[in-house]
Amino acid sequence: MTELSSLPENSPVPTLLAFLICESVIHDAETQKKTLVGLFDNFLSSAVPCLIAGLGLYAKLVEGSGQYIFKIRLVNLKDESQLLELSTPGNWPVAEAPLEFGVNIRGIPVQAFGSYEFQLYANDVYLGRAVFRVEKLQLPQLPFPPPGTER
Amino acid sequence: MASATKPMFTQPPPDVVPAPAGVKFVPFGLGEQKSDVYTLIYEPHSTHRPERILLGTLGDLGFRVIKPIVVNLEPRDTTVVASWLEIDEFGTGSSTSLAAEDLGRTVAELYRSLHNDQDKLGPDLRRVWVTLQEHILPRR
Repeated sequence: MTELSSLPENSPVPTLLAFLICESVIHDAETQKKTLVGLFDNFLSSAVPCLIAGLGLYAKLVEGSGQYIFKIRLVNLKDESQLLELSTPGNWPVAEAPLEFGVNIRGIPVQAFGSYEFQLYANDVYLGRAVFRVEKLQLPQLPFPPPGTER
Repeated sequence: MASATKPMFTQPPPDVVPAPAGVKFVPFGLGEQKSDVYTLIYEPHSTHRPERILLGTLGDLGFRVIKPIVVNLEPRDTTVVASWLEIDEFGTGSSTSLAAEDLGRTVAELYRSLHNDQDKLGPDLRRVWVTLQEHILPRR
C-alpha cells in the first residue's frame, strides 16, 4: 500500500465516468476511437474451472493530469481472493480532456461460478469497479426425448 | 497463465474526424503483437482483502475527492466494515467495494448536513468539517 506522502502531488485523483466489460476493445489507430464489442455482465459456462478466452475492459476518466500507475485487480467477490492483477503506467497530458483506457485480457482462469469484480486504481487510489457473474449454462429442455431414448 | 494486450491510453481528439478521401486501410501490426502481451500475476488461491485502501471516490457525482481518504477495512462475519477513523464514520457491505461505497454515501450526506449548519458547529463537528473540506470538493 502506498503511503499518502508518497503520492505524486501533481497527479490529482481522477474521477471514473465509465468502467465497462466487453468481449474486446478495438482501438482505431487512425481516429483513436475505441469500439467496444459485446458488452456483457454475465458469462455462461457449462462447467468450472473454465477459461474466459477474451475479455476487454474500457474506462473513461476525467479530472486527472500527469503520470499515473493504473492498476486493475480481478477478485472473486465470494472471498475477495485475487485472480489477477495488471499494472501499467499511463500519461495524462491534457488535464481538460478525458482519458480513455482500454485493455484486452486473454485466458482468465475462473475456478468457480459466482460474482467477480474488476477494481480500478490510479496510484493505488481506488476509483471504481465493474462486476460480472459467471453462471452455469443451462441448456434448454428438448420438446421431445433424444433419439434412441424413447420407450 | 493469463495475458493481456498492451493497454491503450488516448485522449479523444477535439475536432471532428474528416471524411477520408477514398478508402484507407489501417494495418493492425500483427507482427508486433507478441511484444504487446503482458504477463499477469495469477494467484488463484490467495486472499488479498486489503486492510486499508485509499478511497478516491464517494460514488456521488456531486462530489470530487481531492485528497485520497485512508479507509480501514475490517471483516466481520459476512460483512466488511470500512472506516474513516479521522472523522469516525463507517460504511458496511458484503465486499470491500460495497463497504467503501456505503462509506462514500455516508460522507456525502455528512458533508451536505454540515454544510447547511456550518455556522452552528461545535468544536468536534468543526474539526470534522475542516477534515471533509481537505478531502472533498463539491461540484457546482
